[in-house]
Amino acid sequence: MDRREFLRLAALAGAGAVLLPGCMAAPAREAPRADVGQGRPDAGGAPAPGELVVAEGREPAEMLARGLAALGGVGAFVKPGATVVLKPNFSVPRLPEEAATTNPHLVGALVRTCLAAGAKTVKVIEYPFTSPAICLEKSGIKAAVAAAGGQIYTLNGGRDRYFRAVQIGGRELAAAEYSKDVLDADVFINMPILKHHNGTRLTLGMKNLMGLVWDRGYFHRTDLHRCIAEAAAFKRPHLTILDAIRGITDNGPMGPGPIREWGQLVLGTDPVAVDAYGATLFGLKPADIDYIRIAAELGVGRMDVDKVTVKKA
Amino acid sequence: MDRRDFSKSAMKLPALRYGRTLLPASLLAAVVALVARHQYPLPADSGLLLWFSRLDPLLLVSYLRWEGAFPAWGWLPLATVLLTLAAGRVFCGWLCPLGGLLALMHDGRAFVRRRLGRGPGAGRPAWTDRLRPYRYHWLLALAALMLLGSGWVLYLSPFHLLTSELARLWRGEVPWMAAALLAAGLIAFPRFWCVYLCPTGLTLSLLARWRRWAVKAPAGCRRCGLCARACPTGAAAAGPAWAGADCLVCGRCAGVCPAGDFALAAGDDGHTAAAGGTFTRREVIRAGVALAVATAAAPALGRPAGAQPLRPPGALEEDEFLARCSRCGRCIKACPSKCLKAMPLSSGAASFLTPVIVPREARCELTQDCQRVCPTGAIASLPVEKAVIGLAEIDRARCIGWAEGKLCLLCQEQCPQHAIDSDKQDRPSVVNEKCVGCGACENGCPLEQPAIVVRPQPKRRRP
Repeated sequence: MDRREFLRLAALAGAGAVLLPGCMAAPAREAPRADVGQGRPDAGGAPAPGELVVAEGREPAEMLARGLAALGGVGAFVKPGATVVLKPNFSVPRLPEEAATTNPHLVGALVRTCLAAGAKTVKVIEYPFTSPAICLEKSGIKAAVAAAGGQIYTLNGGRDRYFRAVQIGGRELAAAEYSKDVLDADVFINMPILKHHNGTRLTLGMKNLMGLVWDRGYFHRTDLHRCIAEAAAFKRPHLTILDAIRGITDNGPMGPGPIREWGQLVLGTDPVAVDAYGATLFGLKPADIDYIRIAAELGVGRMDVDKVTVKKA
Repeated sequence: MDRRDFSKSAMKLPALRYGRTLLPASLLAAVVALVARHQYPLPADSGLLLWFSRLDPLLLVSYLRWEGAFPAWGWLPLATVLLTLAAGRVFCGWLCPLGGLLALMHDGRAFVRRRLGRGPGAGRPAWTDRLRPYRYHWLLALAALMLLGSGWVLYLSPFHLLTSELARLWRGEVPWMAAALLAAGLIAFPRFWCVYLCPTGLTLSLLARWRRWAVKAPAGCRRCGLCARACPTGAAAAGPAWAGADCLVCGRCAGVCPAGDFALAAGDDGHTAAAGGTFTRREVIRAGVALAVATAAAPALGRPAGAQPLRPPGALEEDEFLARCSRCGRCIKACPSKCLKAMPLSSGAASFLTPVIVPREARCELTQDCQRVCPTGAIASLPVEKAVIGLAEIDRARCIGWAEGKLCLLCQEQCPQHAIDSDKQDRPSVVNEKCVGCGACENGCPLEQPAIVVRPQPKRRRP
């Protein structure tokens, strides 16, 4: 990473916090709680005032612990007996060191953390577009989740088993077959990796939610960015944890490609803010990514990162 | 006369008595287990099946015919040949896994008959003996077919037939060939396949005519015929003193003999003499007919019919591929994405059961597992960059990027070889030099009828 870039960002964030105290109006710890237990958070409403937590480091489990602590602890999200669904990105057949899939240690650590917080079950799901067996194996996530005591499976081929028709209510995406696991979960945590994407420039949190829709081809046939934003408006994760430890900066999403290390974990309840912050790590303006801009317009969250508190964990 | 009886009572040892069933039956179980393990991630022991299959001299013949070079593992089938020249069809009686299946059937049948009080063994129906003169003509026809370029001959050899049927079972299909083989065993006798049809077995029978040591009846033989009834192949009936060339050296004859000890003995006073024989005019004519039939059938069984299919990466050119692929089904079983399918009979007799990639159902993940498990060399070991399964072709009139001006680029997103470029307007184009034809693009294309399709190419590898 660019230390300079980070400092600039931190300075901006600090300035924002000072100049715009309105953003801080809601106590930091209440924002996440507002979403808990809500099967379908109100997407059309005002952007959730909140904060982003950035944990820097190299050790995923330790970064996660710091990040969650800064958000008020995992207990703010996961109540005893809760069914937790995690959606990492292991859509491509790549090894962890190839930095095109969510860090397996991070996923394993979150499974362990949720179970320790009393979660009844922790399901880790993905809908890879290449062979599920290879993705499960190569990403290291299957082994990590199994070792942590969670369930892991892919949604491929399980149209009836894993998907349910719902009204999305978007202009382009009026209806879709959506992941039952996520619809029925008490807590849904999105765990994308920050990396290059050939079509949308970056794949981030909201792009990762595409893997919860049965017919992703529809997005490509109609309006990719708009569909991503509308699907995100339909179902906001309770928490997004962006793996920005290392990621490919070209040849994405498939990789392999040149790898950049940011050494950051970005946590937030506002999916748009997390993605917007991720875009700045890439040196892009959030509005450069159409789906971020459209999602902000739809009121899914705020993309003006300089107005969001970025808290260093 | 040099006669060394080196196993007088050995043939009645319990180890041999049970081993002759247990060993081949466990090898059968081992093959079933190894085929089961042909899946992602491919375990290192998958190589065991490869090596086990190499015991078959027919595979060496195929390699010599098509590679023109002696493979590094050539000593293994040669060891089988030497073993046969020494003591006959020991391979068939003790090591062949398909033989293990039929040995179980033989012993099961004998057991039931004993329980019903119908005497030891069941013998063979007389009509099967009348087929005997034709079996080497069958072998001759198969040899011609094999050398002319049909992989079907290798299919009939035990390792390939067995794994082909096991792979069919795993695909949820009916193993009709194994069913036919077992049905023939019920109607005729269990080892009918081994005596009359198996190309490997017949080749070894031919070699066994010149074997050094053969099973010999005891001096006090009373011609009671019990050994002939117990013999799984009818080799004991070829006697009186020496077992015929089909002898599996299993010792079941010794187990029932009331007169004394059978022995594995060397000698030229019987069994080798029987090998000589002269060719009658009738035999020559039959041989000519067999050759003519094989030559006539060769095109249908070895030449591609219609359009070239998409073969696994590393597959040889179509003619040679069809000549060498034994339809053993292991590549299809091992394929991690299940992009490999067995071609249906409707695709022609030559292509039936050979592996084909259907990208719309699944893409080739380029793991090269098919190359690793192929026993025949039909799918050669080849780096992915050198392979040309086919080349992707974009139909610009229908492609979303070209025809509708929208951002799609799903083909580019999913291409593992980065063989798709896009321009400023997000329109894709294929970089032929990088495309290996894995079908990820065709698989991913969001249109009902894909606008990017992998086309087969006449050359399947890059220089």
